[in-house]
Amino acid sequence: MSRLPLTLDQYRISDEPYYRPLKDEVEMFSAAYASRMPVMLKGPTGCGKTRFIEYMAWRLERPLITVACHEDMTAADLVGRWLLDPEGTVWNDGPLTTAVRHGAICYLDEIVEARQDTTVVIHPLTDDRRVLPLEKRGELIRAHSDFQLVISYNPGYQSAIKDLKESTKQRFAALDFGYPDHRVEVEVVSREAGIDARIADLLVKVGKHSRNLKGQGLDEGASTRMLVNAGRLVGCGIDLKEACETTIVVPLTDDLDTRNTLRDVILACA
Amino acid sequence: MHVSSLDRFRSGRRLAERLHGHDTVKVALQTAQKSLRKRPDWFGQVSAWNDAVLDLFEANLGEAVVLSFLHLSGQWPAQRPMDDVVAIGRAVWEIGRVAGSRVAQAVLAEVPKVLARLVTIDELKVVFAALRQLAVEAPESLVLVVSRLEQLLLLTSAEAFSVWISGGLRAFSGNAARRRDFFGLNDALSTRLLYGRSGTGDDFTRLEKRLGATMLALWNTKPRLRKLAIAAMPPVPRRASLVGGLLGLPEAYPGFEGKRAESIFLAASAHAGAHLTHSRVRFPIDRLKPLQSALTSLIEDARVEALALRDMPGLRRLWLPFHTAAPSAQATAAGLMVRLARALIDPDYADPDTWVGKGRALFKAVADRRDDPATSREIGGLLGNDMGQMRLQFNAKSYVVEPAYRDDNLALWDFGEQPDGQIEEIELPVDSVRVEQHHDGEGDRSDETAPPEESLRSRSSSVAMLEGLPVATYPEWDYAARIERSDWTTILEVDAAISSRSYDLQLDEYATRRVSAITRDASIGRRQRYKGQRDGDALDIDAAIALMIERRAGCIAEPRVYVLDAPGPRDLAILLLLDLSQSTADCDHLGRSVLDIERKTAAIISAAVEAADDTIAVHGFSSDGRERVRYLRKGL
Repeated sequence: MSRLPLTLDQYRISDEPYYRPLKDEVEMFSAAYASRMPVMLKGPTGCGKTRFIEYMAWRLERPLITVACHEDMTAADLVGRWLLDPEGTVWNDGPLTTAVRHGAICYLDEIVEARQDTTVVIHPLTDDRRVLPLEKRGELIRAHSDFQLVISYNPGYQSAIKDLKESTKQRFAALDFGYPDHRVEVEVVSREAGIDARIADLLVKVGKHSRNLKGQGLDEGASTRMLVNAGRLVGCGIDLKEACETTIVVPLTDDLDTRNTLRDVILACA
Repeated sequence: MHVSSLDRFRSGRRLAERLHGHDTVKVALQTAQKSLRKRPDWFGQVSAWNDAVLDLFEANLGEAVVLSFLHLSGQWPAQRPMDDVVAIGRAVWEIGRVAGSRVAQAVLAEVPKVLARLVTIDELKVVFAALRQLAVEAPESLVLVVSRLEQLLLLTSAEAFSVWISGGLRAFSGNAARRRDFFGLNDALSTRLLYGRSGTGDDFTRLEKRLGATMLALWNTKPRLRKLAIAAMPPVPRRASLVGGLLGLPEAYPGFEGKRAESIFLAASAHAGAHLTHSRVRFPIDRLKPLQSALTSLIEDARVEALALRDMPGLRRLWLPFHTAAPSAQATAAGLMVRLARALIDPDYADPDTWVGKGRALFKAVADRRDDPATSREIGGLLGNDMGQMRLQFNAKSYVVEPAYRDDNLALWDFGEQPDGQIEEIELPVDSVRVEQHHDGEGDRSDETAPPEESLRSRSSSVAMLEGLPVATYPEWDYAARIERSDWTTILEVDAAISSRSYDLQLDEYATRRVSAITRDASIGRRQRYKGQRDGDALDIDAAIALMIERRAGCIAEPRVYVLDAPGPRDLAILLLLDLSQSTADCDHLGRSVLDIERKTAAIISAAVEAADDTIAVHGFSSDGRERVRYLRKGL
């Protein structure tokens, strides 16, 4: 069947992504990969989880297949499904199956967004068995020796409704990511946006204060990624306030009062 | 406007000739001119100023009026243009011609006090035009207004003042007695017109949500905000107040409208946030004199702002525009204090006064101890002693914290134990925390001889003693008299204290089991199977067969061939109100108090509802007589 990717080259990362280690996460992940241990990356959005896994995939020279999980995602979206063509039904591997069959790191981004009954399909892959049963096709795939499963998980969503099952959680080693401390975040924003550390310092202050609004008008405060975006506009000669307006205030919320609050924060910090 | 040197020469000569034989005025003129000549705008304005002096002289208002004007000119602040003083001269001349010399002199005496409120020449002109209109149409009421001009302009803007004057004149054009009531503020329409501020409405309500969020963003604290209504004629303008963990803000700052209203509310909440973050201890009021406590508060204001500016330098742009004090030769205690307040936050502000300079130096000297609130008490005490030796009168009853964005600082002070029963009557408690205390005939005593802290304490009134802000009243049925008494019971909103007796659900097996059961029931919604979907877990066989038949028949149909299994929607919010009355201490036959059972119930329900990602709040109430029905809730 020609639809199956015979090579995973398209998923390989050729250039080194910039990543500023916060602690010992690079060594920890390398050790976990050595024994193909499933890893969970915990932390708020935009704090560098995806960048970290890209960096690790590059460093370990493994292809990386990323799946952005969402509420409507079904198990079939992960493992594959029967499709209809003029001749009848035809099986199509999902991204997880592709990674398992051919040996890639499969990264399930924001896994709690997916429903709990969807995520149980990963269970047989995350213990000693390392197999993926395709019930609908009547096939049992043994995982390629290079395969590793990595998930990301935003603790902000913890609740009885949106949480990982205990039986899922306990299969993973977890690396805790947070927004970097002030000095490191300034370094990251300055480096990524190519701006002066003084401007980066102001942006990081804005970010820090906006994070106080989490759950109180904002689902999340401004992430490091947002601050980098603001910095990039400043680097192109845009006024700092305008840059923050475009990359932080407007994207974060549509509520006029909360927008004004964010503007107050920018005024106070700048 | 170009003024030729010939004009200047002519007007000067005319004036000199006219003053021939009036030596006192001549000397005063020379003194004023000597001072004015140093100004850059002197040459442009000299002719107009000479004419203004000459007009005043020739209006037969008496030498006293001319001398007052010359004195005012000689002391005119360097940063105010000479245009302003010329405009004042002309206005006083016009008012004096109609209303006489006594009123003209009273107006001139009021000018230095209201200058800070009338920042632009337009505002000056608007106020004087209104006074002129009053002089012409209701001369009997003019003195009523002029005598309280400072107080009126503290409470309202120039524009609103003008609207109030013309409104009163229109409403009672043929009735001098009613006009006297109106302009003497003994008329409901008058106070409504003065503070009603039609068009701007209630700024607090408009800005409340934003202010709360800004406090949280900047300070990571969210005190509950409460509105303080402006009383009909408050003794002093209303300031923000931090009481019982709540932040009370006026419903509006008179004189600040539109964008300026927004700015002052933001400045006030940022200042309150700086206190909440950095004013960690309360100063014992002990035997402090009112002046010393006011100065300590002033230094503490500057200290917390300095600390806030370290992290958020942009706040200076928010606060600085309200610091409009300027050097003036007429030193009053309140005037010097507002100048010191500016000197401590505005590095570019120059003030020649030695007391202000000393305050600035003392504050700078403790820069490395900025985290220590004791420095405020030290500096406040020193400056208070100095001011006492300067024999400057400080009237604590009329003193109001300036600039307007700062709070009343009552929260900084520990007043010690308050004897009960001081509050005899609660007047207008709702929406206005102006709770009246009845004093025992000592009201006329000057503040310098008053017992320590009395003024501040009486200003704190029962707000501090009530431990909360009155937020509502409700009627109650008097069963003995068989009548309904309206507004009989007062609800005070109080910040709930965190109990030292924590309650750990995990230790209680029964409770944990109940939580799990409730959570399970709450979190599992009825799942629904949707057939004929574009996407889903499994093929919908009927739909797949139907699709294949259509395709074979050459029809183009939408491939809705999957079955989707999804949960139904949910939406829930709960407020749990606990009875915390004294009677809940009663025990049941097992020895458990009602309160303990309530606590446990609240803990189980909260844990379960929160686990299901729904919203729950737990509030409580208890009462201590009809004046204190406490409503307890916890902020963040």
